[in-house]
Amino acid sequence: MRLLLVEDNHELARWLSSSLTGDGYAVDWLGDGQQADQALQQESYALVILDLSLPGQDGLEVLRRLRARGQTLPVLVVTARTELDDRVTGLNMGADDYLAKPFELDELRARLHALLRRTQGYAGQTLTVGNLSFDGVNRSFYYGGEPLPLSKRESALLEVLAGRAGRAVSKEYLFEQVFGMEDDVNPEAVELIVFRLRKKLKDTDLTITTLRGLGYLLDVSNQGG
Amino acid sequence: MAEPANHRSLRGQLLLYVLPPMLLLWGVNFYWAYHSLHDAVTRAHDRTLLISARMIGDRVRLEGERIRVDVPYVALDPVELDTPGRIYYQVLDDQGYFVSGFDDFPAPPQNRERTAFYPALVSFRDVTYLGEPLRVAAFYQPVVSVDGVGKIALVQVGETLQARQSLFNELLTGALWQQGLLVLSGVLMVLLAVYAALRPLSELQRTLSARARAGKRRRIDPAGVPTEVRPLATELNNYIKRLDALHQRQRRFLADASHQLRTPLAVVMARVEHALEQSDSQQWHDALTDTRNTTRATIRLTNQLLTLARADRGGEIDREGWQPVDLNALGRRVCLAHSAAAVAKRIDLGFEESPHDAHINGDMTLIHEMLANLVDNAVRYTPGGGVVTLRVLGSEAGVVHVEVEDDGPGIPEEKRMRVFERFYRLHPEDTKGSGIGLGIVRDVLKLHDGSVQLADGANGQGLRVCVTLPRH
Repeated sequence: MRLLLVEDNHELARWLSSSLTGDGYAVDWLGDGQQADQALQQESYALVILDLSLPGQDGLEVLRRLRARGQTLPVLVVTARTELDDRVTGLNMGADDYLAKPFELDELRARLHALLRRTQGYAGQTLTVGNLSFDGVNRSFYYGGEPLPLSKRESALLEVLAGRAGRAVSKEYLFEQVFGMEDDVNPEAVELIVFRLRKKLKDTDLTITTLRGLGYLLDVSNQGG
Repeated sequence: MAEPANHRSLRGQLLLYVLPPMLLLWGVNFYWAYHSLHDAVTRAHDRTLLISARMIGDRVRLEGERIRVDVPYVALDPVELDTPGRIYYQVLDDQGYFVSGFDDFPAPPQNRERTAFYPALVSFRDVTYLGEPLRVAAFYQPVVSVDGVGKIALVQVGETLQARQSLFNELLTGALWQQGLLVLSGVLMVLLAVYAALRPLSELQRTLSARARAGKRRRIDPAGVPTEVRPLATELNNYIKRLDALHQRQRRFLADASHQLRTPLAVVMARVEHALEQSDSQQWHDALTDTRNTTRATIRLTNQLLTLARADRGGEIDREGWQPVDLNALGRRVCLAHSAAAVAKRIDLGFEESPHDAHINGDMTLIHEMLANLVDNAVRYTPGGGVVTLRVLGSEAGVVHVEVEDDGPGIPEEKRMRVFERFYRLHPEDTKGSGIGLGIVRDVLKLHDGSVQLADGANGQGLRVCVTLPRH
């Protein structure tokens, strides 16, 4: 998958592209806003990682022009300006996500995955958490290579949790993703599905942790002991 | 300080208000002087002209039926002597027959209005004679003979205008000079007054610039400036005081920050250099892991220091950039962001939102940072297996409370006041914490006119930090 990295700090850009290339992405790196604007008009990318402070043309301007041209590819804004205003401006101008510098590589990877999944789905991809894997083609879960028997809703809920493994997912979000616009469903239904999922994952290395008043978190359980 | 470009100097403005009216007054005054001088000169010369006419009139006599006159040359003197002007005269009898003088002299108009200044039978008028403007006095002189026959002679005396014109010019020039001098001295006085009145301001400016050069905390003595400038001086003093305080805080912050940031950098440097001297890849790996952890801590510290700097408005409430903040939503967001760290440490991090409206007005970024610091502290210092809860309480009208409760080691009561000081560490040997998290809490609350209390957690164990934020 081809990514455009727009970042004017050479060293940061070098190591980032090196890591992302190692992850299997094809990374084009540009350090100038004007050049980035050109490249976005000529080349086709799956995603842009965009720094806001750039020579040539401000990152927000690159973003504005991109969206003005009607291009819908996902943009992950990365900036050292941590003020919330920038964040709001960036999101208003069509950024899909926002990451404050300095960030950890794992965090960047997680955001990239989430963004790419949101725009491209799991087509052809396999999602793996511990020994659990999700086949995006036939949309089914496997544990240690064996198919995991799950109901449609259990599978949908686990898909959301696995897609954000190691990060909290709010109960409201789960409810929306699993039940969509369905009427007459009690929000507590999420708890029931989690209860059933836990039973089915009892003998695995995965744990669904309840976050009181917040939601749930799926993680590989051998860390905590 | 950038001044708007269209602001003239005070001096210029004062002059602008004073000079044009003065020039206008000068103009009006000149107009009046012109007319009154013209009237005066005309009247004075008319009188001499009339005297000449009367002198001629005195010499009119009757010789039988005929009017005769011997014109005395002295009658023509008063005008001809002192100026290059000329005088013309004419005497006619009551039938209009020419008696003496210039026979083509213009005849007086019929039914002329007489002026109030002179007796009846006397009139003045302006005519043109021999191509020259003339002022003419005309009057009727009754002539009575010895045997009682009465007749009336018309005597006209005309005078060219040079004499009156030169007198008028002379008087007018004098008046102009006088008034000009008056206006000029007026302007000078205004300038002097403006300069004198503004001198305290200039002195104030000199004091300030001297202060800036010396870098000293010199204040302006309010007793040494005029009453009108005193509030300005007082306000400037307050401003200087605030500026000095801000300056001091910034210096302290810079000193603190450089110490806090250099230390972990030195740690990283030492660790990396030590690893470079080794040849074992396991040791390199350990060094890199340590370096990552130190860097992580330094990143957090840097973010905290920047938040602290942002929250520092000199202890004043500054509502710039405030917006409605829903503490229910913000509390949830903060907890979600920390839940991974809590789960990794097997800490039960919970969120209890308020069923009531929990909106306040404030700086969203700073309040977010404050809550993040409270939750981060609780998760950091509560041992594995512990319970941390963020609770929003919004039932009171004017305020919203946010509590962060844990069942960790707590803070001994006697040390609870000190933990809000910057870089104070409960356990000096603990190098994980930065020692500024609670400093941020205190500064953000000060900025929002809020307050914080530390109490025991549930069942007398752990710590409960209770933050109160006014809704504003």
